[in-house]
Amino acid sequence: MQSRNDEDLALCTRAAKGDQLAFAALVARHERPLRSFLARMGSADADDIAQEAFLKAWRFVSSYDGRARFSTWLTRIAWRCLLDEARRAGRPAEEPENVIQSVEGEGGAEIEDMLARLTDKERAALILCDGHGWSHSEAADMLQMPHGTLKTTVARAKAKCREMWSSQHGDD
Amino acid sequence: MAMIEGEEEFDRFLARSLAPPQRAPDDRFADRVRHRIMLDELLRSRRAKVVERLSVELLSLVALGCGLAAIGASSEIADSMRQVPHVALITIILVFSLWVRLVAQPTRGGFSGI
Repeated sequence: MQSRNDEDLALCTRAAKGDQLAFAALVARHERPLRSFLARMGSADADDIAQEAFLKAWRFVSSYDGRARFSTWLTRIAWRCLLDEARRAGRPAEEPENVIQSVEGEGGAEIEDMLARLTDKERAALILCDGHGWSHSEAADMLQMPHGTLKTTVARAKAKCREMWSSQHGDD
Repeated sequence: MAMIEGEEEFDRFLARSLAPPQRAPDDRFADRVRHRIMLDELLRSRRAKVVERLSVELLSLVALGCGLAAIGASSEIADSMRQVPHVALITIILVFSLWVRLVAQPTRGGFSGI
């Protein structure tokens, strides 16, 4: 049975030959986690950035070699788009934006409050590792930080959220 | 014990809240991406055509200039041009007009194709 990434690689090979239907299938498979990640990151234009990322992925799809998962490769492109957007808006990437969009799914306002208190890198590391099931190596690679630093970042982000959770739920 | 339970509950809450939503693919979003890709492809092919066209026009202009310079280098032609300069000017204008007509034909996607 073909793994999900083998299927993605096969679709990428077809898309690299100009098959727009194959790329549409990739969009359908990956838009959900990508848009969820971008919205959780607090980007005001999460959908625009997701579109931009897919467009760049289409342009450079022939360079995808299947060594990383397609979702990792795509999210890395989106992350760079997000950083470019922050740079254009004149906001340092390390500063918490404090505006997290409402995202479909569970958790609601509580998780939004928690994420708003984290820096961009803490937020990204936590979402990818704890929410999207990325390995620490994949997240470290995308965020361009050493593996150990990434683990510390996730632990710190989690501790901050835990603290807020405890103050709201009364356990310690 | 209660602390471990609280920790587990928090971990579950975090994983649940940060996980991508479980829903069907968004067709409207996929359509928007498809349209952007089609537009991008269209612009890219037009840009390539314009660059190709400009290169051809530039090359033909250089060739025309070289041809005129070679003709002008001939002492006999230079003498006759000196004697009747208005004929030389008219000839150059005619050659240039012919070049413009040949190169910028709308059916061949000249500048109007941009």
